Amino acid sequence: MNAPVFQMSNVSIDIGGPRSIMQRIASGINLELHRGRTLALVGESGCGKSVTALSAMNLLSAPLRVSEGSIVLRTEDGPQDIAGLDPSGRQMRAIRGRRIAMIFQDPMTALDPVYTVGDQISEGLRRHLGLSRREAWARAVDLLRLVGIPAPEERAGHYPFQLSGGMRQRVMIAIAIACAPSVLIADEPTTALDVTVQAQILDLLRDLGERLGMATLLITHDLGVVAENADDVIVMYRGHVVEKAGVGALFDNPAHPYTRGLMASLPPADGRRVELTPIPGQVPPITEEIQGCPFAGRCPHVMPRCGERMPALQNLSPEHSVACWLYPAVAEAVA
Amino acid sequence: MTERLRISDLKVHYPIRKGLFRRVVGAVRAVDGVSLAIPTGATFGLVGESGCGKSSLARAILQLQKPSGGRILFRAQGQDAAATDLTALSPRKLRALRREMQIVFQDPYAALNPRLRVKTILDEPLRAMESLGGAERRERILQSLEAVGLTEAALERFPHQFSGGQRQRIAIARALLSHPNFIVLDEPVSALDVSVRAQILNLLIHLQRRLGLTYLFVSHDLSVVRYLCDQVAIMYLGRIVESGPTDRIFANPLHPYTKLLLAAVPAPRPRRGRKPVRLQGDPPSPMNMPEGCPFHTRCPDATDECRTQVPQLRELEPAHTVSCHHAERLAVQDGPAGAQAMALARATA
Repeated sequence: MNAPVFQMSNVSIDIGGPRSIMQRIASGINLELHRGRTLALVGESGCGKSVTALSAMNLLSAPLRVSEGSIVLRTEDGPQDIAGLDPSGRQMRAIRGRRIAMIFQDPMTALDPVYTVGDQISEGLRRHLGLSRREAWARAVDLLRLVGIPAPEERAGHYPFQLSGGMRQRVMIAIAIACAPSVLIADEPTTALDVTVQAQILDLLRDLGERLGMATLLITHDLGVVAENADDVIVMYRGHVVEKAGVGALFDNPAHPYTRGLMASLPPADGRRVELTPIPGQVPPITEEIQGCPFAGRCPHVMPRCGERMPALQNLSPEHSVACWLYPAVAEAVA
Repeated sequence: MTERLRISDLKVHYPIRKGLFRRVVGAVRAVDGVSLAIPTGATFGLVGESGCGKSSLARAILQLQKPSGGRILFRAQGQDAAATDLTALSPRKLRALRREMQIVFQDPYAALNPRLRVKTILDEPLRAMESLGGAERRERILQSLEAVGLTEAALERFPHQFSGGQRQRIAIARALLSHPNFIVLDEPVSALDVSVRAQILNLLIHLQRRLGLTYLFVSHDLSVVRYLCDQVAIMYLGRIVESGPTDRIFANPLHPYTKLLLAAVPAPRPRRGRKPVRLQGDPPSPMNMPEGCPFHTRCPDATDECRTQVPQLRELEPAHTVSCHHAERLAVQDGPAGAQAMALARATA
């Protein structure tokens, strides 16, 4: 496989400032994005999905910050570590929206209510690509057509409130892909949408990703969305990557007790009325200091060593790795 | 089997007012002639997308929203023969009946007052509904908490000290206080994480078995509906387009909308390559309903008849009704499963 266009290596994120205690909310995150492929980041609320996405855009602001690791973006100008750039500096602003773009969960809060959608799509085109007002507008109309909005000439002059939820999300996608970025980060892009509209939007994202050769990071809590749209999957729990696999391997053979617990929590697909096996308890609050594996408190296979140290990600196969002491042979071999 | 609830031709219309004198210029037909029956002890699923009127219907059943027309027959505890028409009750009588029907809302963050301790949140409705002494009320509250898996320790705490799942347990405990026999669950697990959602679903099933509850489960999540409900009705633009036993609806959906809805649900197993047919566009506004079949503007199989004639609900399989002019023809197109339904339809006709 070619070199990844985007690579986070050993990234840790801390929260806290000069007058409060530093707390690590995500640690040792490694992920790679490849052209035309989709990597899904899955986990429940509070597992660190969104801070990971924001760090990928270098959008973390105090009291959050990347304290360790590198975030490398590869463009035709060579690799660049964006974790070291000033978040509001000129260099970062030239990358954001141009090389890396993001789609947020709620299009109503992400779009500006006082500008027409045509203006909002044009903004990036004029700033990054230097198009004139007229050229940018024409391109905005094309983009609206590309994302499947009917009567795009007319719609470009509309304000967000005049559009339905699905159309607003299409506008967000049009803004994101306007400058043909190489990396697209979609943070729960369909959570606020109805299931039929969700299907349309996910089809559109997958189609655009393949056609434009974008690398997509899809953040979601919905295992169904993962199964149908991802090539590779990372499962996160309380700031740690606990499992990493190709989508087939993950669903055929989930290895981490948390991943298995998530799958056992889903109603069976064939409609059988067997009792669900939920994961007991809940995600420990972010303020709680945890020694060892953060899942130990809810894990059915917990062992004494789980409370001592967090296991590193170990390979089960070339495309499947897991961070769990249940797999001691692999773990010992590396440790 | 007795029916806990029977609704006939229920309508909820919201007036649209315009101009200086706030003249009524039209109506949003949120619920437009819905009929359904819920057997005692069953879970009835009401499915549809945003704006289809499912929450308006749920609220109208509980008389939280005054219906514009139709009847709601509710069979109270120990009442065998005649059911009461809720729409015709005096406020005082309605109040007395209210303790028998409760509701759990979607968002446990919004449903619990953040300034009150859990003990007050649970005590206030109990004071309003029952004339019990302090010790008896406390006993009731503890029973309710215990039923949802919480302990006495919860009483002194505020809602923000609980997780989403625990808050939903508190909301369910509040609904159980008055010993109801019918509970409307309005998207009760939609705001919860997967692992916690499973806990709450298990809890709802246990409570139903233990207390003999009847549920109206309003949801847009088809996998949960399939798991939990005995019967399902699919709503589109204020009308029921299909209803029947859950296993029949999922095994043999007859309405084009139901079929597209089922195809849109992402299944938690990888199936790359196969691209199901997608429903195009958005639903029309209920302020400006299309003529004929409400679904014809998005239906892949619409004909001229669909554009002019409103289809009626017809029973094509036992207890399985659908409102589509072409259900039989489309069933044949869909292959063996559909053809079987077609044969059955002929046999019963």
